[in-house]
Formats: sequence, C-alpha cells, structure tokens
Amino acid sequence: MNFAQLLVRNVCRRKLRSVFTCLGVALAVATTVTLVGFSSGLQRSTAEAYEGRGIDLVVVRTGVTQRLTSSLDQSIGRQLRSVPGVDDVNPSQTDLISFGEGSLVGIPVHGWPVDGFAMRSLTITSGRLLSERDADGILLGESLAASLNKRIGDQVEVELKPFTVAGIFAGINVYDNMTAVSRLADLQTLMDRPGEVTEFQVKLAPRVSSDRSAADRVRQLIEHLHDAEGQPLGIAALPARQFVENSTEMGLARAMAWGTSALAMIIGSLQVLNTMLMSVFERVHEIGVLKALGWSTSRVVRMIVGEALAICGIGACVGVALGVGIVRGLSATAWLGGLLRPEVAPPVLLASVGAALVIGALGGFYPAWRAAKVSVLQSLRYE
Amino acid sequence: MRALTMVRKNLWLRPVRSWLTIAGLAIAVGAIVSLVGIAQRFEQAFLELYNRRGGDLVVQRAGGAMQLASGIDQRVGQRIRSLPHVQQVIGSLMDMVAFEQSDLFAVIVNGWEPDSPVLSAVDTVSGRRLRAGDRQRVMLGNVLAANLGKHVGDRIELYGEPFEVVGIFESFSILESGAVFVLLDELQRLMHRPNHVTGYLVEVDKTGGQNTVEQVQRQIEAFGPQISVLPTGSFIKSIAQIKVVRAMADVTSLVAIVIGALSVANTMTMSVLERRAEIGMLHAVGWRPSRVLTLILLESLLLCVVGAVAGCLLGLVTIKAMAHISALSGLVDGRLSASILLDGCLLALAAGMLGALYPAWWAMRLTPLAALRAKT
Amino acid sequence: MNDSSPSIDRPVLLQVEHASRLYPDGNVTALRDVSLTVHTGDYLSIMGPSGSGKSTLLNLMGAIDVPTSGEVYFEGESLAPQRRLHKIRAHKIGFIFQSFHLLPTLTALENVQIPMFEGSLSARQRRARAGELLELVGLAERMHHLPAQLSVGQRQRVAIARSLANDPPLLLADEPTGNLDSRSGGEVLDLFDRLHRQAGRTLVVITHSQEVAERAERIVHVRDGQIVSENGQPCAR
Repeated sequence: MNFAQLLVRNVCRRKLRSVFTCLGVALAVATTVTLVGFSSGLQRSTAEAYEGRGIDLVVVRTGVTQRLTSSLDQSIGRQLRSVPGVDDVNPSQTDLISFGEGSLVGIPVHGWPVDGFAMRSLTITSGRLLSERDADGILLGESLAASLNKRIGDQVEVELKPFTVAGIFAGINVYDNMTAVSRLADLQTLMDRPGEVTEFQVKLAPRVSSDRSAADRVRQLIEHLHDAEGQPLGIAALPARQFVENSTEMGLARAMAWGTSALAMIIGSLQVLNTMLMSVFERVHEIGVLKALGWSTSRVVRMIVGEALAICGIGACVGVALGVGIVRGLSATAWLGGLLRPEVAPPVLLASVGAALVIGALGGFYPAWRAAKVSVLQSLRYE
Repeated sequence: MRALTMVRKNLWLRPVRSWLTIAGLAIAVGAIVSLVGIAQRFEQAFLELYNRRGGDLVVQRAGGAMQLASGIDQRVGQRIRSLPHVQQVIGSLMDMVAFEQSDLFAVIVNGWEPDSPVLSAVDTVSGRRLRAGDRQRVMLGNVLAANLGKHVGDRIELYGEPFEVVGIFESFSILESGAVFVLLDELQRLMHRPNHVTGYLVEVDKTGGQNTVEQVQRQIEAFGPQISVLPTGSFIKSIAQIKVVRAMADVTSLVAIVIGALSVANTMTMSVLERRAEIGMLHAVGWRPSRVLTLILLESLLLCVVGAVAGCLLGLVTIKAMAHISALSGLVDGRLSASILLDGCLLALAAGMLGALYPAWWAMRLTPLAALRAKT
Repeated sequence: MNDSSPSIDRPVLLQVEHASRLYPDGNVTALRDVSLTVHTGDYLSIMGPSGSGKSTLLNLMGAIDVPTSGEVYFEGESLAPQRRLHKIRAHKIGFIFQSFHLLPTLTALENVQIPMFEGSLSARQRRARAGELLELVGLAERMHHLPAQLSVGQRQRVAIARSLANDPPLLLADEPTGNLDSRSGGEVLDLFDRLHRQAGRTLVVITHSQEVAERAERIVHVRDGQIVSENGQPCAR
C-alpha cells in the first residue's frame, strides 16, 4: 500500500461525511465554472463579434460607460475615413429590443448602412442581404430566427413597428446568432435619433492593423479630431477587445462572477476545515500510534493535508462536470440564450480547479497543525 | 430541564464544529442580506425619489429594453402639460458616466430644464443653482463632490470637455446626492441628442379621485404607440439595471443557501453518526420516534438561528462598509430593511431544516438495539 | 409448559410464550421456543454464558425487539410489532445498561429527566422528581455533576434513577455490574435489593456472574437459545 492509497482509505472511512464535503467543494467549483465562464464567455463573444468582422477600433463618445448610451453625429464618419491608416469606417447604431418577454436584457439590434463593410461581412444562410430598396427589412441571426420561429418574408415587431425578415445570417458565435440587423436609416427613424449613431467601427489598413504602435498613432489622430469651429469632438477610439473589457456591463458581470465564486469557495473551505478537524479529533489516538511507530511530524502533516486535497480534488472533478452541464443547460434556454456560450474555456476550468485545491490546502492546514501537535504519550494514555 | 437545554448542550459537545458551521451559515446569510438589500434599496431609492418629486406616471419610449439608451421628443412634454388634471411634468435626459481617476464607474448625469422643480427642490449648500444659459457649468451632489474632492469654482471633465462647478446640493436621495446636474440643452448637446429627453415624470391632480391617474395615463397613451406610460412602481420594476441587479442577487443567494444547507447536512450527519449509541438509548427509554426526529431538527435549527443572527450582523456591517467605499457610495446608502433581514433568516432556517432532514430521519429510524450493541 | 414459579398468587406482569427469534445474518444468538412468566414483584435473574441468547431474550422482554414467532404479553397485551412499542418502553419498562449510556453533556439531574419527556410532567415537576430519584439512589449531593465527574458506580446509580423516571412496573438490567469494580457492583446490587424489598419492584437482571444471579429469587439459566433450568430444576420441555 502506498501513501496515496492510505489517504484514499482514510477519506473513505467516513463516506457520508466525505461525500458531503466533496459536494460542498463541487458546488463552489460549479459556481465558479458557471459564473466566471459566463462573464468571460460573454466578453469573448462580444469581442469576437467585432474582430470577426475585421473591426480594429471602436469609436465612441468619451466618458460613456454603457455602450448603448453613446451617441455621435453620423457626419463624423467622413472625418474618420480621411484619417491616414484607416481603411474603412462603418457607422453603427445599436439598441436592445425586447422581443416579447423571456430575455433578461433584450436582443441587440444593429443598424448598419447597406453598403458598409459590416453588412457585407454577414454570412447569409437563407434569403438575402438588405439593399437600398428594402425599407423596414430586417436580418435575423439563426438562433434568434429559430427562437422567434420566423422565416423569410415573415413580419417581426420591433418597438411596435413591423419589419419584414429579408434574410437569416449565420453569426460569428452564439452571441452574434442572437442579434438582428436592420438598415441604419430605419433604426434611426425608429429610435427617433436621425443622423446619430452609437459607435463607429473602424477597420485599419492591413499594415497598420498588424503594427501596434502604428495602430496607437491612428488612435491618437482620431481622438484629436476637431470640428469645424476647432472644438474637440470628444471621442475615444479603443481597440475592440479593450472596448469590450472596459464596459460597465462587463465589469459588473466580472465582479459578480468572481464575488459569488469567492463566497462559495469560502463557505466550501470552512466545510473542508470542519471535516478535517473532526477527522483529526476522532483520530487523536491513531495519530499518536503513527507517531509512536516512528512517523515524522511532516509525514503526519502531509497525510492530513493530502486527505483534504483528495476531497477537494474529487470535489473539483465533480464540480467541473456539474458546471459544464449547467452551462450547457442554461445556454439552451431563451432567458440567457445568446449571452452564454455552451462551452467553457479551459483557463476558466483550470482556475476553478486551482481554487478548489487552494481551499483544500487552506482547510487542511490548521487540522494538520493540530495533528502535528498530538503528543504521543498523551494520546496513548487517552484510551 | 427543558428540551432546548438538551439541544444546546448537544451542540456544545463539539464546539469547534458547531462554530464552523455557524460561520459558514453566517457568511451565506450575510451575503444574501447585503446583496438582496442593495438590490432592494436601489429600487426603493428610485421609488422614494419619484414619489417625493411628485410622480404618479413615468412617460418614456415604448419597447426599448434599455431606458437610458432611448428617448422621446421634448414636444411630448408640452402636450402632456396641456392635458387636464396634470399638475407637474418633469422632463430629464439621463446618462451614466465614469470618473475613472476617482474610481467612480457609474455616476448619474441629469439634464434638467432651467425651470425644473427639481433644481429648486434640492438644497443648494454652497454656490448657486443652475440658471438658464449656463454653458459648461454643473452642480454636484454633495456625496459626489466629496468623492471627487471638488468644491465650488473647481473644474471637472465631462464627455471630454471642462466644466465649472457652480453649486453643490444636498438631497435626501442617494440617486441625486451622488449625481451631476447640468442644463438639459447642454446635456442634449453633449450626448448629441437634440430635443430628446429620457422620460417625463408626471404628477396628476388627484382631487378628482384615484382614477384620474388612469384617465391621464390613457390620454398620454393615445399620443401614439411609441410612447409608454407606466405608474412609477411598475416603471421601476422594468428598469433593466434593476432587473440585472436583482437577478445577480438571486443567483448569489441561491448558491449561498445551497452550500449552506450542505454544510449543515454534513455537520448534522457527523453528529448523528457519532452519537448512535446515545440516540439508541433515547429510543430504548421510550422516546417516540418523532421526538428523536424533533431533537435533531431542533439542534440544526439552533445552529441556523445563531448563524442567521450572526449573518444579519455581518450583512449590516458589510452594507455599512460598502457605503463608505467611494465607488459604491453613490449607489448604496448603508441601510437594510427589516424584511430583508427576516428573509435572510428564513432562508437560513429553511437551509438548516433541509440539511438536517436526512440525518434526523436516519436518527428516527435507528433501533434501540444500536444502543445495546455499542458497548462503550 | 411447566411454570415452577413460587409466586403464583401474584398477577402476571410479563409472559413470553413459545417465542423464537431468528436472525438472518446469524451474528446474534437466536432464541428458540422460549416461554417464561414474570409476576409482579418478582426478582428474576437470567444467567448464561456470553452468546447464550440471554440478551436476545431481554430485548424481547424489553419491547426492543419482537419475536419472529410466538408472543410476548405485557400485562396481558401482546407486544406485536405494529404496536407502538416506544410507549411500552417509556411507561412500563425501565432499562439499565451495562455501559450506562448517560449523555456526556448533561448533568446527573438532567440525565434522569430524559425519559420524562414522554410523560406529562412540567419542567419544574420533572426536575423535582429527578431530584427525588437521585436522593433515592444516594446521589443527592452529586446531582449537578456531569457523568465524567462521577465514579463508574455513581454513573450506574444515575442510570438506575433514570430507569425509575416514569415509575415503570418492570426494571430490566443488562449486565448492570459488568463495567463496575466489586465494591460499586455490590452497591448497585444492594440498591436492587432495596428496590425489590422496600418498593416491591419487579426486577429482571441479566448476568453471567453467579454472584449477581444469586441475589435474585429466581434464577433462569439460558444456553444455546433455550431456557435449560430454573432455580436448578431442569425445565421439562
């Protein structure tokens, strides 16, 4: 019998207790996998939706914290296009629409010019792209079309106005698949914000795009643009990924994910502490015998910490399986559809398992110290 | 001896285990109480603000899932004012900005008309109130001013432009005392939304009975399908940010309570298993099975009560501490309602009962033979 | 059935009739076709080596276990499995265990009150009665001590006081002196004598010790799951 087998046997001695403790750790891990997976997945999805269309920079009004509340004059687009290093500019108006009940925050609808690069980048799976003649036409992402149960030629109501489904597109990812696209002018009219956009999407020239310092120079140029009277435009140009990461929504999601996970981990670690402490208390005599037989203090410590880690290791595995299952299940619901990717990124899994092992070590250390302090003489007299 | 004495003494057999379980529950309850508390206070703060400012109805654009992102034309305000029974109409354009140097990420900016009753309602403690024609000038709520370290005459940067602080005001509501006030036309220019407001707060003259409110609501709704009119209470419940905060609080509560229940289950199972001889004796001396079940459930209940009380205290301390963190001070005012505390306690008790159910059932089913077979 | 009891004039308290108790796993000694009658006021000891089935017999008599065949009657009523046996245990039988089974966190006074929860006494009355019982067993001075602060003999006397809590007509003791030294064992047996003579209590004591058994009026010998003799007279079967 090797040392690891001894650990496993000790853990199995009180099966129910070990199972409950494992479950506690598993729930903490599953919480982390689900919530952190959710927030980082949402961030990745949103960033991918930009990068997948070749968007390098996003131009918004400075100081805005929520993407959708930014508002810019569409005419700035011409100035942006003339900045050296800029390849193409796509004005974009985005609004969140509640298509009926069921969705937590609403479905993003983008308004894009029909001849812009964003519109042209869409992969149409049925129907066609919008053209100048398609007044009040709309394109739906595949999942959105499926969940609304709409086909080409059907009508959907956006802010009480009927739009005709002209095409269905394959999104870049699950998030993109739950969006809709209409003509910029139509959305502006609908929102009562003619001539205004929420952001400009900027594609840099290939040689600039690959060169970080060149791209930064373009950002500087854009941020220093002036209007006709020499007043600064008050706009910020951010790399797409950074823009997504800095938004209030993402910050909130991140804070909530890590906060709740930390809470679950703390309670889980208290439970490991409790279990291991009880285990040491009830084995005082046994530990005394081990020491009498010549075990070093460090081996006793390793045994107890090892048992705690074994419990957490098993718990972590169960938790990862549980978390992945929950993410799969939730991503299929309408409530979170599009916000949650069905897969969890390996770094998230690694971080969750790592956290579980840390709580195992934390929860095991004090009991191990108590075990190390057991006096051979006293524990043998105990009986 | 009363039954409770026995329950208490049984728990005291393993003080470390009992305290650790109580600590776990307290953390769970503390988290629930503070998070749900924040969500609810946030909602109440809106409601209180709207009620004190005299609001029966909120008029905004229909269909938009994000209130801040949509707006309606200012001309609607004139039409509402001309309706019968309408006492007061407050229009505002609203935005959220960040002051990243001061670690403030969600500061409300309100654009008011120069004659807006809100500007007279707040208490200007230094400087002056905004006047018609004030360009690049702001008033700051006292909490925000303190967080930014700004005084009258100082400059702040808003939307990339410099602004002069002309006044500092105090308000009963954290939503105002943590906010920036500018003139409506200034904010419209800054946000690039000419002639737009986020919404109107309408006060109705209710001397003609409560149904005048509904009457006015129907009249405004008749303006067109793109206008939505909601009583303040239902409007607040529909705010996207509040819905998200609530969902977050619910998720955290769920996680906390499930793990809490599990830790109670663990403790009570351990406790019952190591006391099988004692429990067998209770059966042997004739305790009815339900009494044994009750004993174990009561032990768990006592753990949870102590955990819940400690959790409430923890929650209160957390909330108070959060109110002192400048990043949150504009959103959290450090108060908790009794009903939230009660809810947190009830949740903990439910978790305790759930966690103790299996061990208690196991103890109830134990036969007295167990006591006789265990010889020590 | 040949009942050689000398106490034929007193009412029957407990009757075991052709009772058998078989265990599927075979770990516990089975009991085969045993009959025994206990009259009110009897002091009976059941003797036998370990593994003879005497504990199984005690379990049947104490409503802790039920026979696989045959019947056990208490005051003329059958202890069939569907009966609420815990009521019999609470009010009709006082148990005394070899290893006392006192709750370590409760004082002597509190331990004695445990069976009284099944009765109708108020907390104050429970306390008063527990005090009287401890006085009866000679522990009035020690009622606020925890079991760990008492000698083993004193612990067993607390357990005896506990068995009297609901004033049961029958006391059942399972090796009551098994964990005691001879002096405190003698004290416990003296207490049994007193309870029997002065209070007229019915006592059934299980033991493998001749010395303990001889204190009783009747001695029943059990071997291999059967009663083999009573007071030295072999049982006719």
